Amino acid sequence: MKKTVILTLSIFIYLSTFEQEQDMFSGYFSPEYRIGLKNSEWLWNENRLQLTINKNFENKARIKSDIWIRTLDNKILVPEIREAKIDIYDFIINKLDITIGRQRIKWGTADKLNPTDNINPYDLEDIWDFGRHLYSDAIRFKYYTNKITFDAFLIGNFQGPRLPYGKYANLLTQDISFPDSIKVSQKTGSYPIILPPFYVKMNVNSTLFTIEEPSNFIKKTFSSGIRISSQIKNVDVSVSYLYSYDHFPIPYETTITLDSFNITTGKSYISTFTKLHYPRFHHIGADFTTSFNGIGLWGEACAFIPDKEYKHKHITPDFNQVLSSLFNLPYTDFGLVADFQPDSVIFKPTDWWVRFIIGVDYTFKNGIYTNIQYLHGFINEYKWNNLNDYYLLRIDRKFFNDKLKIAPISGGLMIGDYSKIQNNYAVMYFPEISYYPNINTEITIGCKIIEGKGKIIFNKVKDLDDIYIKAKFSF
Amino acid sequence: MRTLNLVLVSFVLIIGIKAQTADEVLKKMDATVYAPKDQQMKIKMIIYDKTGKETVREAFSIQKGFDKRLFRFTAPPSQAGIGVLSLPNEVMYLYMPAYEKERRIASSAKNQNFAGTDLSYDDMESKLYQNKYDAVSLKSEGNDFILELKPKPDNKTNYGKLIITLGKDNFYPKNVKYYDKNNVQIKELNNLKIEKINNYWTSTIIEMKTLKTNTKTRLEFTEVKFDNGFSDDEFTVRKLIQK
Repeated sequence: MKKTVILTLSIFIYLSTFEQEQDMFSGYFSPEYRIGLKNSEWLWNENRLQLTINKNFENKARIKSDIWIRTLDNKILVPEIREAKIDIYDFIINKLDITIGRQRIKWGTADKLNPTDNINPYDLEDIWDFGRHLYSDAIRFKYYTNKITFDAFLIGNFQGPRLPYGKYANLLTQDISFPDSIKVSQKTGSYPIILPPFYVKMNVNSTLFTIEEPSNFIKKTFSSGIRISSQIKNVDVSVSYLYSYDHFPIPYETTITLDSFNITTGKSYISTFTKLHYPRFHHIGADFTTSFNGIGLWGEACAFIPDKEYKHKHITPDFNQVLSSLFNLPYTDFGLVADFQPDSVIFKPTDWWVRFIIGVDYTFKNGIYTNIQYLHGFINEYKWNNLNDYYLLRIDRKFFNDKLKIAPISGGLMIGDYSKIQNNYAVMYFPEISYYPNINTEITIGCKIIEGKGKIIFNKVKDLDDIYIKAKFSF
Repeated sequence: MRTLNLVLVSFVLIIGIKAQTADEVLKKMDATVYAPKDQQMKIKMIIYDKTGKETVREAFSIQKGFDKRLFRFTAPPSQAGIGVLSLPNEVMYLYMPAYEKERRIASSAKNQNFAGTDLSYDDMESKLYQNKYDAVSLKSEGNDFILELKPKPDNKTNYGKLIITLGKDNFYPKNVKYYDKNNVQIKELNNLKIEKINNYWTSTIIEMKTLKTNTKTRLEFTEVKFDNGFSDDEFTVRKLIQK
């Protein structure tokens, strides 16, 4: 606490030495409405006001804050300070810039889908706002030499992701399945009665989940990393290392409680209670971007290495207790053992995997802009065998001195299993038209149409095709 | 036969002298336009659509030599903060505050209009004409030279040729006509106010017309300062993202 006060005072003293420039306030208002194509239901109804404070102190320091004031589905949300940071340039030594506060640390060079952008937790509230992250309380250092830039940061506290909202809430939930029945056997020589092995048919009454966050000690909560970037022969390249929590929790313990059991039919009703926690990964990343013969080229890859073995443990009911209750006996050890699935290993350090993306873009002489990307592994896909392929394409063109932009082809193809492609694919089509009636206003209408089969993520929302209108008024 | 040889030699000599002269004029023009070591200025961009309706943008620009420039919009709000950094070897970065990160621009984008103006990224580029174009002819008309330029083979521009009118007294271009590859004029630039500031000739009002769309953009430069002593550090991604 004392250190924080001293640091804060030091910053204010440092800033007070500069002549303050004119305050700068800006922002935008952005409504967005989506209606389902299949049954005309409202899928999204958001009005967002962003207020930005951006104050520069003679190019030696800058304070910036973004505040969101919103309504979502007619609910008035609490104002949210998304960003609140101070940049100090040439801090102590020349070309060392530090940023302190709630901030976005964005690594990677790809276009919106960045496998190395794993520092800030995902803000998945609106699943169609690709690349949106929460802001994190961090201290960041950037040091520039003539050839190399070093970018390092420390985030002290843990922050979980914001999960999808509303109709899209189930998009990223992981299915936790149980076997239909449990085989219960008796250990040999058990007393007082001899029972043959029997099966307990399980019907799930209720399922509960709880997500546990790391204990509040910095050793358990911190994330940190470093990125080194340079330009080699007209190619911007970087390598990075990051140690942080993953964006999605995984189960580590499921307790099965027997609500009722019929000894004659073997039918039971159970409740499950699953505890989830966030795994921690080492991330080793690399990216590049360049322009060759007028074509923009970029690539980005990240290796995900679990920092330890992560298991999912199952705690089954004590059938000795169950049987004792059935016979109105005090607890008696009948030697009954449930032959349930053993602890499963979800991640182990030797089972690492790589998500990557490569992309190209080109603007033709007639003004048609084309952007093609190939992504291997979406944000919620883990391990080599589970990484799907995503082919993304966007073609757009501006007309009438940039007053109109039409993207007739925009979307992608996702393939889960090439050998069974007819049952493992998703096709997304997102055409849109943007009109700029004046320089500060943008109005966009478009639609999202998804078709596919199999367990590919976007198939979960294929019944939520929509038509949307959104606007942005900057001030 | 001897007469024919003499005629041929004379013809070659005339062509050679003329080409050399055009080349010299091109070099003198470059030397005039890019004479300052560096410069900074505020820019008011008035964009007129075909009905004459105006849209105004404001920007700030610093430039060093002929291959380093940092350009940043300051108004209107929807554009404020957007910056473009141009570096040697066709390296360009775009910074958009909403994207929160710099982005390398593919050089194919250079032929497109810059932010809705009648100027392309290519037009904005501060590269010596002699590095992008060959001088192919030169005419003298009164107090002006008429210089014809054609793109060098490695110049991936949309333009097929440029016809530049420049003053014989100061070698500063007054008018540039831009032609496409089919030899059809597509744009015209007029330097409407050429003045001497700190011993350097410069144009403080430029107008670029796009003939096909009948639109034009007028650039008004104010607070023009030369030889500020900018270091190369001012033309880095670090400075691009500091706004």
